[in-house]
Amino acid sequence: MNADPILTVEDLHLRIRQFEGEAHILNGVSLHLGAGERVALVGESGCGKSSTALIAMGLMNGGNMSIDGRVTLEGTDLLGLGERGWRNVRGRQISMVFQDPGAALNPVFTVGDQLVTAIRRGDPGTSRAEAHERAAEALRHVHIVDAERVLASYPFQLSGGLNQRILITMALVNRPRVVVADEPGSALDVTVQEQTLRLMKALTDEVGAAVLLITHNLGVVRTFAQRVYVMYSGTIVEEAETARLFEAPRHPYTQALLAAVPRLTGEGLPQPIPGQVPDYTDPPVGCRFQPRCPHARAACGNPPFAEPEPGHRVRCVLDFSG
Amino acid sequence: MTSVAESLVPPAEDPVLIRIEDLRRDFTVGSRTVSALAGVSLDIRRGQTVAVVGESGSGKTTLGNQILGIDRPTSGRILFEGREITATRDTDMRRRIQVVQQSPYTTLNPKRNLRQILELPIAIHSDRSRRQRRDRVAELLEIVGVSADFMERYPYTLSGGQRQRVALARALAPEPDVIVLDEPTSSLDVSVQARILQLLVELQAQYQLTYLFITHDLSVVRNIADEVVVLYRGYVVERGATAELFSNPLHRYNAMLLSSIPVVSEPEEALKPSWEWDGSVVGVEPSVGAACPFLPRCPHAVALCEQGVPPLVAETPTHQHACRNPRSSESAHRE
Repeated sequence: MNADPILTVEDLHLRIRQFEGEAHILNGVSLHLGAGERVALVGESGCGKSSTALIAMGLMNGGNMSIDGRVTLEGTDLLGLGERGWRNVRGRQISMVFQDPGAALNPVFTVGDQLVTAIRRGDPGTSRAEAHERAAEALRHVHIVDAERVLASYPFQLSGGLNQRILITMALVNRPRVVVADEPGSALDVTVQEQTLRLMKALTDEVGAAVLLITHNLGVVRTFAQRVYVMYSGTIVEEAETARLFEAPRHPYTQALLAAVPRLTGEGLPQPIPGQVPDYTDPPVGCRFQPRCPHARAACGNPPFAEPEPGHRVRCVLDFSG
Repeated sequence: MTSVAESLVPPAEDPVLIRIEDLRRDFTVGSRTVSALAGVSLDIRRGQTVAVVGESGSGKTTLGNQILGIDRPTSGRILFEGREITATRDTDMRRRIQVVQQSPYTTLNPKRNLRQILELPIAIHSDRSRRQRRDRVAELLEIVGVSADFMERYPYTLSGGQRQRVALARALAPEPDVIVLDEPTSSLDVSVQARILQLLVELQAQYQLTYLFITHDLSVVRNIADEVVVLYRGYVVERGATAELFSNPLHRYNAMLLSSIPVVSEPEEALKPSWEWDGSVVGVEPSVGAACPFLPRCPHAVALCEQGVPPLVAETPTHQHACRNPRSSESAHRE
């Protein structure tokens, strides 16, 4: 259904050397995005979803880390890209919307300064005046009525919802091929989050950008994404079309995560997942969910990422459905 | 006025523990006066969980602070078992109302270990000896599901869920009647949130606790609140028995809140009221007080809405709203 993936992550490993030992944060993550496709990567804190996003953005580097695997954007190898190479890619072909709009915008420059910089970065021939005009237009396009006032404001003078809109505008202003969105709107009120997601959907559709949505919120996945990857402890444990995942989740972790969500229908308290997220310096051998899994058995071992039905893949030896 | 102050979820045998009468709290911002609470009346009965929901800026935390005595109202009264506690309260009164705040990363002193953190409220509110205090700390940790072996540990060694359990143990330490829970799970993962919610329910049953549960996320309180109070810009715009308020939202703002919840199943989707999101809501000015506070954001406003702040009216004995064009009539005709 998605002929040519635009962003591909293959067998990604991230190891970080720490005082406690080497933490194996990402354990062979593979995923892909089709052109214009909205894909969610869902999991709880510490599962490695943000690390995956940061590596795809070239923002994860440090002397104590080693990254192995392949990340390609339209055939270009991103992991081998130097800082110079990244300048032509980041913000132009792939851009990011960060979680906390208050922290992602620079407090000592006006919104206008920051938007103009982004626009001129993508299109160096643009004059400041032209870029300012384009920035104002872009803001009006996202239903910000008093664009000139907003452009002249510093981020801390604006509401969180407004800042989030500005961040999204900034990420899309150069019409990138891929947008990585890390928990957009989740630091905001639910009403603002709803509008943020609607805006993201409309704008990325318009630009034809694919979205990799990083989130912990299954409800957000259901309203936004076409396809989902479920991540647990540095491993993709399930992949499916969104509708299919919610209809018939196969992996015990996906099922447990769904049961932990409070329901509007009021059928009793949400169910916690027993146990703890494993220690990355000493993860369980084989399936990392096994110690917390109600269905764990001796045969578990290290399950392959099997495809029991077309498009629905699961890393579990037990055949689950529904 | 008095009819409004009466609690909605009856069993008449549950006595009123906290009565809030026409509470107002004004803040001066530059030359402007903003009412964080614009005349809130509320009864909280012993053993109940009352949820206060609304967006940021709705006044929900201000209301919690008033009940805790951290802040004083501009006008209005707070009664505890019929005794006025608006202006002053003694040590015992303070003991009886405790709090669990939102972020367990900032509310536990990083320089104190768990024993020190939990001993302080015990030392203030009881005359236990050092040894007895230590035993009580161990007991409290066990109650909230943290091993007593963690007593000498510091907060940074704990996970978010464990820290929130410690914060809960600290609130339980002086044996309170009421706990104000200010977004107690919103910085936690869902699987951890589910555990904390279960713990709250267990503790409530065991110690006959009364909860004021402050949250911006309606779905969290669906399964634990007896009554829900919806605040908007300092006004109570709807309140009612939990099931009723979810199944039949009357005020347009409540409908908007409900429709914004990202849900995970079809039956839940069917419960959500429809809402037109496409209208521009950016740059809305706060309404000046001569009209319904929600008017600037409401696509269902009628001429009547501009004529003063709508009062709370009872739709059923257990459901009130302050909307001049409520959702009920139209929803009855839907499909």
